[in-house]
Amino acid sequence: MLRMENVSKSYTHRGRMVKALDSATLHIPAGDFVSLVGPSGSGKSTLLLMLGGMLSPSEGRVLLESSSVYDLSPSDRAKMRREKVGFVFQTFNLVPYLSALENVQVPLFLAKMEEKAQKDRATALLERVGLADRLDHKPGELSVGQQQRVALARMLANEPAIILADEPTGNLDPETSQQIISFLEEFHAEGKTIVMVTHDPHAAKRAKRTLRLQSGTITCQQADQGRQKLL
Amino acid sequence: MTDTLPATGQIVRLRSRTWLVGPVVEDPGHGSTVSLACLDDDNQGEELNVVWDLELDRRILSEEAWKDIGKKGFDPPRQFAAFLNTLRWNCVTATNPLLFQSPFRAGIRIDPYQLEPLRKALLLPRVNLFIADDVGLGKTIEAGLIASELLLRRRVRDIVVTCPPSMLLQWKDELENRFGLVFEIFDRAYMERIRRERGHSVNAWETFPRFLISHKLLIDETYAAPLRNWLDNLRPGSLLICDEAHHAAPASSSKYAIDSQITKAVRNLAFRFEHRLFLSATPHNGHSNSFSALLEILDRERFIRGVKVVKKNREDVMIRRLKDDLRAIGVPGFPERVVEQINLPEVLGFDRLPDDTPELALAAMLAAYRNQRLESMAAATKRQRTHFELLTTQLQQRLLSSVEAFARSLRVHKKTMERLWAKETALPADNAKVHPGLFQAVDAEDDRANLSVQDLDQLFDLETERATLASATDSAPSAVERKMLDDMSAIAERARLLPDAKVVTITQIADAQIKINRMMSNLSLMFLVIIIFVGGASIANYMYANVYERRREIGTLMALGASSGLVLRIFMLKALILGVAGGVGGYAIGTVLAVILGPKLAGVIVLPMPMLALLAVGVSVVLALAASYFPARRAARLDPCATFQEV
Repeated sequence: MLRMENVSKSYTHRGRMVKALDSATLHIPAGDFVSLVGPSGSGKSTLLLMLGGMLSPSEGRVLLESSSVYDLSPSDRAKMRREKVGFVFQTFNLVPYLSALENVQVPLFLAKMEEKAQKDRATALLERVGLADRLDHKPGELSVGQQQRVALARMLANEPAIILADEPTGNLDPETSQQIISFLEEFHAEGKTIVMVTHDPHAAKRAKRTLRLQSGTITCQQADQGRQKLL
Repeated sequence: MTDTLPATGQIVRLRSRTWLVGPVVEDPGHGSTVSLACLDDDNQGEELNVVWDLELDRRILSEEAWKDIGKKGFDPPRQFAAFLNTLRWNCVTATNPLLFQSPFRAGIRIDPYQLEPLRKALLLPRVNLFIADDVGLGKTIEAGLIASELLLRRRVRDIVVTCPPSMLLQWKDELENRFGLVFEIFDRAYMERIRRERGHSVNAWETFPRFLISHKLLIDETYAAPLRNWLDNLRPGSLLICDEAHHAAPASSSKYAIDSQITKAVRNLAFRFEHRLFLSATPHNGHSNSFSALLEILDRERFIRGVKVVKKNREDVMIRRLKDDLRAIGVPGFPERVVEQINLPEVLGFDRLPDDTPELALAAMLAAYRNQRLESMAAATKRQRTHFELLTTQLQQRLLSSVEAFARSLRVHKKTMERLWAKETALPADNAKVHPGLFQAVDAEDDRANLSVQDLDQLFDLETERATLASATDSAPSAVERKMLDDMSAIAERARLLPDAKVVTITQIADAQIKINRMMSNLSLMFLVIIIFVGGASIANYMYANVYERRREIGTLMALGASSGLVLRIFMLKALILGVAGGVGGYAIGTVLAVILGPKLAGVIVLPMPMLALLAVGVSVVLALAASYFPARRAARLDPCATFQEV
């Protein structure tokens, strides 16, 4: 499903080369649930953005369903993001002056869906995350957990095959975190491929396997056996 | 009236004055003689011997107060000491010339420089001083200070001030109000009054100690002779103040200074005074003979007529300060007078008047007419020629006055000539009277200054007519002269109706206006360009800031599948809306302001111009789009990393 071949990324920061990612090779089959851990600045976000077609690598290729993402034209890449990839952010990134419903409508609007259909689908998605009674609330009027659920609904809008989550529980209390991870597990159960960056060991353990990044290098790939035991 | 003789020490009333009785010599057979001393303020101490029985209106004043005063007894020593001190402090010392009294007793504010003449006068054994200060420095005040100081020091008892007739009242007022010195104006009225009151035998000059007399009367022996009698060869304690003393300088028309009447009169009087004070702003008329003669009148010891004036001697008796001198030492109140030349060509805009200017044309024609007439008058008498010259001079003067005046006189002249040619008027007798004096210009000392304008015009008309008649010969009418007169009248009559205006063609005005308009529109264009640059820069700045502020939203949109093109379009749409709003709003506010403020500030009525709305919207939209393009493109290429980092 997702494949990285010898991908490197370097920035020039104040005249010095900084390697954010160093010849990472990675394969994520369809239906996988990968958690990505590592210290701050180890290249987790960079890796995630590259997988999502948001940041081109300096070297190497990123393949999504066997097509090279960064060999596509910018508009095709935007279309690919729209149709196949869903992002979840640590800070939710909801538009503050739009209601929950309208926030969920944004990707549908970008996919040029009709307005009536947009509303119906957005309503259905919000019902699914348990916010049927919060359709017209602005993000500021929702709790952080509810905001992240709106973000989940928005992410699901275009039925993406791949979900890329950047510390989805980083701003949440343990109980809400639990709730969000449950949703992700639910999506995983529905057959979606999930890559989740996290600092939270509990959340990481809920994934099928864990990748550890250290200074831009994937140091350890382990299938999490403990998860089965915990369950 | 009583028949008893007064006793020594009594006070009597006699000859309208109050006297103290001195020694009495009794002689019942012939009439007793009484010595009297005057007690009146204005003539204190004057002595008089009378035969008591022969005096009319004699009276002994018995209501004296001495008895009452004697009854009161003596003052306590402290009180008397206080009185004595008051008296002493009030006394003027005559010994120290540098202790001035008069400035403290004068009712004016005195500038320090005005004390210098006083200082100098007191240092002189006899005051022979020439105050030659500039006009406006207060010569009258300086003279008044000296006079009252000398009076206070008892060095002077009698003062005669002589000045031009027009200044008499001013002198009287100033001396009275500022120094408390009452002066009588010595004139015919005063003489008559004294004769009425005191009889013909009384010399009017003896009746009062302070007189003002005009220069004009000083020439008259009726006034000068009694004055000389009163003064005798030298009258002690007498002061002559001669204002405008340069009038007394000998006339300077030739190399030799010729004495005028006033010179003679003043010279004949001045030496009989003990003190002399001359005032003049223009002491020197440019002729040293004249100057030395004037100084000789002032001081016979130092100066001799015809001998060059020695500087040291002059400085002893003369004080001359100009306004420049006072300004140089920082005395305020004398602003510098700056003479600025005005070049008429620069002001008027042309080098010289065109030859067809009415005044120039008329002057030339008048000269031609004069020459023509003089030629044809070759056979005329001298008297006739003189009158014609007088007439043309008069016409020239009238032309210099104004075209209007010239036209009026010319009309009279022409009419008279026509009557003469038509033989309607007989030639006047040779002795017909013309007053050449009346042709002179009117000045302030002329009786005619009091006439109304209408009367004056009629007077001129009359004289013009008379002069024309007096210059007429019985020669046949001359066609040339007639034509010249007609031409002159035509121009004069036309020019007098025209206002004093300049003719400018309409194209000149239009050209000038176009030039100004073009300049103004270029200026406006320049401002417009500057405003566009500034406006564009601020829009770009705002958009950059906006993109930076919204970078997370942009990143989110991109993550959700928005392409760069969409982001670019969103920002450009925003710029478009800004541009349209700016254009419409700018047009509306600008139009309203222009309509309201235009008439108030620039005096121009402004009407709304709908075409400008299109221009405004067009310019602002293009400007906003152009200025926003780079910020929008930057937004489209934004690094999405920003989206995922905590801000």
